[in-house]
Amino acid sequence: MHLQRWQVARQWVRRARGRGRLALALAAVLTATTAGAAEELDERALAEVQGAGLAIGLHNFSLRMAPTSFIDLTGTAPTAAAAALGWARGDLRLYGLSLTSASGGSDWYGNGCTGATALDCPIGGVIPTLASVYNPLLLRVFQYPGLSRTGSLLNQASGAATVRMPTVLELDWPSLTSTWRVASWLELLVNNGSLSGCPSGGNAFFCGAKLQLIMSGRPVSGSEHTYVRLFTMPDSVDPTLGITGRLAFSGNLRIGVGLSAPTTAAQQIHQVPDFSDREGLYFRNIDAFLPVGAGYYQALTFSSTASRNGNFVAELLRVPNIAAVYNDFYCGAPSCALNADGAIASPNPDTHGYLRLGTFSTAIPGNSTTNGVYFMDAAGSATNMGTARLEGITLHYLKFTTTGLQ
Amino acid sequence: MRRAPCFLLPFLLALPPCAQADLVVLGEDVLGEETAQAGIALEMEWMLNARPPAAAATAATLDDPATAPVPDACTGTGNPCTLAFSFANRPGEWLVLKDTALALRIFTLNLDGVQMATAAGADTGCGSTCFDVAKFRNETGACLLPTGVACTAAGVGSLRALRFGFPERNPAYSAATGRSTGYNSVQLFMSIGRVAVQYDNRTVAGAGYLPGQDVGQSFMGLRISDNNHRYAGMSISGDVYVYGF
Repeated sequence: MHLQRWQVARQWVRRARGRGRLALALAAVLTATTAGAAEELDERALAEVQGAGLAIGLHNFSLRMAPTSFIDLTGTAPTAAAAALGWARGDLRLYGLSLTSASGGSDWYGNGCTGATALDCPIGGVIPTLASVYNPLLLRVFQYPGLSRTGSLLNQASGAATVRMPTVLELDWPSLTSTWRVASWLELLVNNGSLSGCPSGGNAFFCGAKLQLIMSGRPVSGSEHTYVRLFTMPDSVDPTLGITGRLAFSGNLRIGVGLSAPTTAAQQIHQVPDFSDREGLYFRNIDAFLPVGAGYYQALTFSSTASRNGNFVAELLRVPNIAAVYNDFYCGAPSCALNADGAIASPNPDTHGYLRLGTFSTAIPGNSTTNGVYFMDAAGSATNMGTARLEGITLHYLKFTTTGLQ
Repeated sequence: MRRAPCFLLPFLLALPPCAQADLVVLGEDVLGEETAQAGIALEMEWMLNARPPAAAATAATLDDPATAPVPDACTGTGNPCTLAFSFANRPGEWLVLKDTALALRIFTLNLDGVQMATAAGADTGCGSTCFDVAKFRNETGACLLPTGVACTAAGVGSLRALRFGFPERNPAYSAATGRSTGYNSVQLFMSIGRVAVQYDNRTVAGAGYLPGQDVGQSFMGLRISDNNHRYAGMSISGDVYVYGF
């Protein structure tokens, strides 16, 4: 028997009250009882939701922090020994963090910009498809097959630990989006910006510097897109939190420090500057892919130092010296074939990253502003340094150990 | 004493006990009289280790100090305003966020239920041409969508979703006054004064997150605020669709 809408609504309220999800229930009730733009939540459809996570679509979307609003990463005073060596407290403030479209634009003051590219201005309009409902941003728990650190293939949904796939919490970005623009102006402070006792440098007004960062592109590169995965290492030796991910980006980047009108107020600490629309260091036609971790045998883990003195270790685990594992890492197969030169014939693309600054099809003139890496002054005059590329970036083992933390 | 409202925020952890007001059954006659045919509008305010302001805040009164929340006294060694993490197989080791306080305001959030093909089809981006079937399949290649729904763009478009929308704002910055206005889709204040790795039974007996283990150590902090207000202001435009499968 098909339930009337009000009966569905009452059931939602009763269930939600017992579980404390009143806010969501209210939303569900109102959508279930309206007959206008809101759509009925059919019970059969609800029952079939597997509940493994959320799919998020972002349409005609933009997010802008106020130019005076900041995210402040604050440092601490150095120890006496570190201070004696010249170390000082460092702070980083990100002001006006914005995610907008790559078309049109204005600066932090709301003024238009000189040029017509996305890198001239920090702030654009709405992004038509930041994450399509047909290609959504996923936050979910999932299972993927993969090799463990002992070389076992984990490909079963359940069963013994030697075959069972771990449960993975992942944030998976869309594989196709509109071009967007991320921008922020930053304040780097030394000695908390105080001129008194400023170790060295700084300007006439505070101990630090201001700069503008504008990035335009997509979180994809070729067939790769960005994601992050968290899971418990299927490792009897150290079953701790493991993180793997893929960072992909294609687009352009500009870093600028010049001001269009260097007024006293704009140069003072925390005051919003009017940056130049042109000046800066540009990276055109970036194509980047960086894999961090592989399968279930290499992941980023965290621990305290053995001395337990407040310092910690971030370690991308070493690839195990097991043939099944390192062949998968290098070749994506149980065995690795070599070419006539003795190199790996078919490297595993999932573990080999790259960083390409500019396209390489043709030689570029020294003042090109359409490709490669170049400096530009406030008048728009450019000096191009050319293109660069790093291929086959593989992280076999990486370990960061802090020292001197309190 | 004012009870803190309960709101589900999946990216925040270690909340204080959720205080709920007495729940009231939604009667059939009340539901039948509902006039919000196109959805509802939400306004919410949530505070952690902070006290409500002296006066109610509106978009027009954000500059008034009387409408700013007052963080609790979460400073000084050994205060109880902490959030701590311990990773698996790391017994006795804690990453402790100390001196924590948070206040979040959302002035107007429109909530509606929609069919995605109808609503999302209005975007000027890639539309259904963005469809990626891999998003909707499991590791064996089986379709994750409900029974009877094809693993195609049309199938996804037939699904219902919650749609959150933010009304248009007119954000602006005045160089003359050095103040921002209109960035009030979301207002957020967050302060994590100190972060440190602490250990069980180090200073006092017990877990590493206890206030007694705090002897002033820290290697960094985080603060989200504004030059002129307690809150950082954000202007958000567009539609957010949330659905599951």
